[in-house]
Amino acid sequence: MRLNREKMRFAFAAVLLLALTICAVSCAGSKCGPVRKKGYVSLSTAATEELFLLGVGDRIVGDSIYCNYPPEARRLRRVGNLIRPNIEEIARLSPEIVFATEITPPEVLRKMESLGLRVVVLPDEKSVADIERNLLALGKIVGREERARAVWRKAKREIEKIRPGGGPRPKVFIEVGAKPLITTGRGTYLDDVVRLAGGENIAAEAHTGYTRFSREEVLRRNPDVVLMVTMGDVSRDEEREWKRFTSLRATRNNGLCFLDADTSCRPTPDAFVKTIRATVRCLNAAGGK
Amino acid sequence: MNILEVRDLTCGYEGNVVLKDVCLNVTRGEMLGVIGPNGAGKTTLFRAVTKLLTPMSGTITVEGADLRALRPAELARRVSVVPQMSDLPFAFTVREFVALGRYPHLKRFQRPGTADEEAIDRAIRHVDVGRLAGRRLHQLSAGEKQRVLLAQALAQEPRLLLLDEPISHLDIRHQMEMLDLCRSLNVAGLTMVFILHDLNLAAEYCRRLALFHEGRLVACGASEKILDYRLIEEVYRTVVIVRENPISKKPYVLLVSKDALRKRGQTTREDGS
Amino acid sequence: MTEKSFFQNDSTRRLLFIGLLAVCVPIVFAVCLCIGEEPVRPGMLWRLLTGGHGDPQTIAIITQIRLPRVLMGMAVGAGLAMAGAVFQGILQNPLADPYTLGVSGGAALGVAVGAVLLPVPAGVYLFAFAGALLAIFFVYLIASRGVFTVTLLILGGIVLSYVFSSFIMLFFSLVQPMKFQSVLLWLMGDLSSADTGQSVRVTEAVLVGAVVLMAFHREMDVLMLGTERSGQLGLDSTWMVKLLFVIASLITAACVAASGVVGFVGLIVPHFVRRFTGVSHAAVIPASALAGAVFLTAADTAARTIIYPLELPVGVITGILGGFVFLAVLLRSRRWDFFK
Repeated sequence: MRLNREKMRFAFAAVLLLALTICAVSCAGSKCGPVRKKGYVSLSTAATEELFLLGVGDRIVGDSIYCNYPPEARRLRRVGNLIRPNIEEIARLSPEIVFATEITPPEVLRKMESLGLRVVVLPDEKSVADIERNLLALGKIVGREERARAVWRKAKREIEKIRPGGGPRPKVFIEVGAKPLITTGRGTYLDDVVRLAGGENIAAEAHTGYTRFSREEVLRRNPDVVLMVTMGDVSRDEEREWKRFTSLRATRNNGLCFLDADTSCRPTPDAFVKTIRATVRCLNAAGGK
Repeated sequence: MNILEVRDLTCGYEGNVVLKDVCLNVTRGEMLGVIGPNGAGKTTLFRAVTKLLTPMSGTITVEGADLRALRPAELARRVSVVPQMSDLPFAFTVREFVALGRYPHLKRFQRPGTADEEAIDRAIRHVDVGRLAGRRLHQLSAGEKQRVLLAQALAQEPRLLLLDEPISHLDIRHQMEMLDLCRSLNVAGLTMVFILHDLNLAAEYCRRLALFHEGRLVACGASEKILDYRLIEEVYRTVVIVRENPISKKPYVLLVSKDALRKRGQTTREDGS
Repeated sequence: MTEKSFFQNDSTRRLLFIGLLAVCVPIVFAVCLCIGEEPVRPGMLWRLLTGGHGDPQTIAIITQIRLPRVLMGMAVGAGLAMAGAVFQGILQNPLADPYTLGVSGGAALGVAVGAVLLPVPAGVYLFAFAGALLAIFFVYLIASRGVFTVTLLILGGIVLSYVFSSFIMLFFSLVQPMKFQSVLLWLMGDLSSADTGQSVRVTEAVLVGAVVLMAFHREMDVLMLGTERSGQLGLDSTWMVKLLFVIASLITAACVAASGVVGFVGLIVPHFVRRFTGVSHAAVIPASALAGAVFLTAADTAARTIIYPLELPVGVITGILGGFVFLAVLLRSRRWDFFK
């Protein structure tokens, strides 16, 4: 009995070893030649969209799993997520430029640079002006400056068409997260959008960036509009939650609105126009203007 | 020459005094039995002798050297203990387990040499577990485990061997086997001190007995002198009758149940003693 | 003498097993270097490593991405497995692993603090190592009060783990979501951010740790006899347990600071190894190191290949793989006889 078990154990180990070797050898079957440096890899959803807008979408050789706009972007080779992109895959694609955001950790960026890749970090868009800045910078890098300016001009014209209602600015609470309640204060893209749309962000004076906010404080400030940028079922739950507070002006005056998270979190010219339009519509609807 | 001398030893745990003013000598080559009720301080004595406990007062010398001057490893080369059988690391093989007894003799990074291997082999041979050398401890019977414990202590090559209740859980055959084995080792020159609960076996094998009671050594001497019914009854607080073993001529102690006593009444006393 | 065949003799079997593992290490090393989306033929690998011949892109991928990662996997696997074996020995508990005494909790807290203090995640290794050192210090302090028992050590470690966890939860509740994503990732165990310098450092630390631990292999065996018997054999078990605790914790700290909290390796590998080598630490320590190196590297390679280009956290693979293999081993043996 003992001898059998010993033999079985050694056999098991040998088989395992064999399996590993077979794996390696069979992997070596596929073809893979050297690739010269060309094309772009985008680790920024905004950059991906804008590259397509600038007409150079065909130069993109790889993007992140979150890059879903425009639909063509989904058919591109995926290189992973934003925090831990697959550096080996990026290196293999051998792009001319890697576009990244501040989300990607610096050590990952450094690693890519150490492999000889050119990494361009587009700073986070904290305002509408930043969108313009990034778009133009991107245009300059890929040699489509004129096109970039044209795209922006078109977007501005669309915005001019949307006039916010006159009168006093309605007070707005921007809700980007529920449980816990999270809002965007001063110096964020959505804050800028609300201001452009003619509203006033109640969190702007005391806070910057993404912060938690207490529901109590919202009730105390009593905004005219609660702009919910949450997704799916959570939004329905939140609407129900706000409706409980009958003293809230937003509840009484039809000021509970939804912004599609997909669109409103994309700081690109296209999406930005849609977001402004939706926000203005919402602010006008509240208080029956 | 006295291999162990204990003078005015007082020691205990956490301020609790367990042994009081104990004086005891063990001569080279003898087989001494330490007896006494539970809690009398017998194991405490062993602990003091192996430096596991620091005495509150008094001195202990081993082969003339004061215990305080001896380093633990040095002491372990002279004195060895066969502990009570308890939670053992059963996954060791017999040989691995016995080999641990060589620890006091080996320096760091030193590989066991021929002398060490021979000591281990000798120890294994002495207790006759040679054919079990490759087995793991949990595969052994109680008697075999006890012998392996002894082998480990023998591998230390001590001059004095302390055995703490080495037969308490064995059946009578294995008890006799163990004690006969110890006897043969003693004859070959190893000094031994036993803690035993079985008074009869103590008397049978040990020429001298040391009787402990409530932390004091109340009597020490030939077994005939110690196994006196008055002394035993006083210390153990139970009725006993002492007779003589017809074959070995050593004293043996008979116990009587309460029932039987009641039936016979007090007259038994006058007859029996 | 027992009449056993060559293969049945205990020490021969043990040597063969360790030898097999030792041979596995370079094989697995080379094989894992070859595996990837850009597969490299073994012949190509040889030429590359020996002469630097090959397409520069492949060279870059192999030397700068895969090599540090595979090396890190081996070093961390070896370190955690050895530390696990030591902890199981000194705590006399088959459920012990390198994290039982709060080292990982301290490192995690260090990483969290670093994430809060610094604007961008940087210097993770230093913060993690500092946190681990803090944990070691506190556990040592707790264990040094009054009479030392192993139970006290375990209690101290567990309590400290809970305290650290609470602080980490505090951190999660106060800090911006973006920051704690990378902390979370680190907590799951992650070998992907290895760079050559760090890999080499961890390998050095683990090698030194291995040598130091092997110096005490007899003591570790004697400790298994219990406090009293060890004392009678001339070993001060209190001092030795504390020393081994510190050494094993430092090895763990070096590994955890680099790779995060990789679970199961330290728990399972020593048990697996003991079935073949017995409990004598002279065999268990080196065998655990070798087996741990092979195990973690293989698991990490699987983690980065299965859903390429995404990666599974390596802890998922070690848990699943390790768990199943171990269950199989456990169910086949009729009793838990290979630990104690």
